[in-house]
Amino acid sequence: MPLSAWLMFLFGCLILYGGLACCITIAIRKRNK
Amino acid sequence: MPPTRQQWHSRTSFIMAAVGSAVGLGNVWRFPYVAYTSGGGAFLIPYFVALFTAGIPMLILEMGLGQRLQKGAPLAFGAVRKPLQWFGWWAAGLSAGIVIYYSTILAWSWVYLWHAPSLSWGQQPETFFRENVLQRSAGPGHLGWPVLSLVIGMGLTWLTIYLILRKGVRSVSKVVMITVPLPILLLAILLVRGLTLPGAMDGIRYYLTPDFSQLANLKIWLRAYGQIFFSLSLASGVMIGYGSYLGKKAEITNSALITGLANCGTSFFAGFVVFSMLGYLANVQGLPVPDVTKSGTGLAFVAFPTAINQLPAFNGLFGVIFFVTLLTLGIDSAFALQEAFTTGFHDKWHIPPEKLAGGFCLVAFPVSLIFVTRGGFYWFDIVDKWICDFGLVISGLVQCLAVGFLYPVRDFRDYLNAQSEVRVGRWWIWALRYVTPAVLTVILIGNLLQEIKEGYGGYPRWATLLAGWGGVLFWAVLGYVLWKRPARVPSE
Repeated sequence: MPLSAWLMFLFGCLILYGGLACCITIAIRKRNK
Repeated sequence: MPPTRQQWHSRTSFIMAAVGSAVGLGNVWRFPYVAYTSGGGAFLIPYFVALFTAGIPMLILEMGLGQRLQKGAPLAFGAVRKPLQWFGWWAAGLSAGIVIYYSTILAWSWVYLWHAPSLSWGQQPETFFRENVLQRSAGPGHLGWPVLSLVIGMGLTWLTIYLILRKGVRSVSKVVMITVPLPILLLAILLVRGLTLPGAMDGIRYYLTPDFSQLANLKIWLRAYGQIFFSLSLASGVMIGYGSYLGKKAEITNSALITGLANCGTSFFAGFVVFSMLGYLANVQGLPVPDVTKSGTGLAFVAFPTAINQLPAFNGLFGVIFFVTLLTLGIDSAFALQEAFTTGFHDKWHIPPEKLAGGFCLVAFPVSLIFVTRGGFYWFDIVDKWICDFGLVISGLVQCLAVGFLYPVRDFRDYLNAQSEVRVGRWWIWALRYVTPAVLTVILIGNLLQEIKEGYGGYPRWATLLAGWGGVLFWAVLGYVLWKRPARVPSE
């Protein structure tokens, strides 16, 4: 698979799953406060 | 006193239900194909721009409006401006229209689930789908009788919806804890199977290799907005209805972000499942990947059964896993759509959930049988095209303009910020007032011009007028009648 495809894979994962992880972390932290 | 409004068991159950409603068959059979034909990995750029400038702002608007007013779409829009109650009924009516034809796909999935253990679709899945399952006639004018196996599938679908909705959000809260994670788990099993097959990486290369030159094409950007808009169950009153079952102090903005990201994350993930299987299929058949790539029903009921036939072992088991995935993906979108419509009856006439669920299913089941007749596939195709391309686009446009300009939207933003974990800035109002309406207007004009110039699918004009425009207008007329009927005043 070309490097550009790998980079798009990482980009997609970063925004979607990274973003999701951040939002869930915020929700858990606020609940535990 | 009016009966107290039900509430979600917990915030998790609300988010699960919202994700379940947004994640549907389109995530599996539409997104990967749209991405592949729109620049591969480069499509992620317009897709994310669309998600953050239209998808999530509209999710916040819908969930927030329902939660703040504690009403489903019809009465919530009626609270914005009295005549907008008519629009609210129309938007919710579109969701009732969608669930009536969407149930057809679930009926096909039940039939395929029955055939999966023995792989009875044989070596010609395309012929099996057309001749054995649909028993398709020559055109929309040749309706014929309903196909018995599909009638049974349809009956099972409506029975399932009734059982899930009969206790309102109390039962939905429990069901979504299974129907949302289960298909994701099953997709993960299919992904592991797909990635360990020869040729899988070839398929994924086609899915992800970016073609950045496509970013200069306006159509790709419109396609990204269209994909986001349809994928998130927007403009049909679903998220307003679900939001209305939240408590008065509930968090909105972060829940909308989680819902939007989870939905798009599932689409991205499903692309690997689809393209690993297509890569394997191309490898076995000695064809290039584009030759075996399909979307929609062609992917689910032809390409996947063909790939399942070619698996080295446990073919029947993987067939069952795939069709259970389709059923569980589809069922929570289906009952969310029904709930969006029936919640208006609960708000206005205080009808209990059990009667609403039973009454709707009893009416909808016989109506939906038209889509499982021998000519039903054509009617399904036309109604789907018109409700999505015209009904929902107009509904989204009116919704953004109504809330953006007729509702105290700055006050609404302050209200959301006061009780949410993530604050929204002025960009949110801009997105609602200008960005989303502008994009939806361009999409609507494009769809109208295409329909006028070319028609759709080679269907005769009388069929598209009757099922297409007739279908959209029917809900407007019914919406007017429901708006004009006096509400039931609760006795003291």
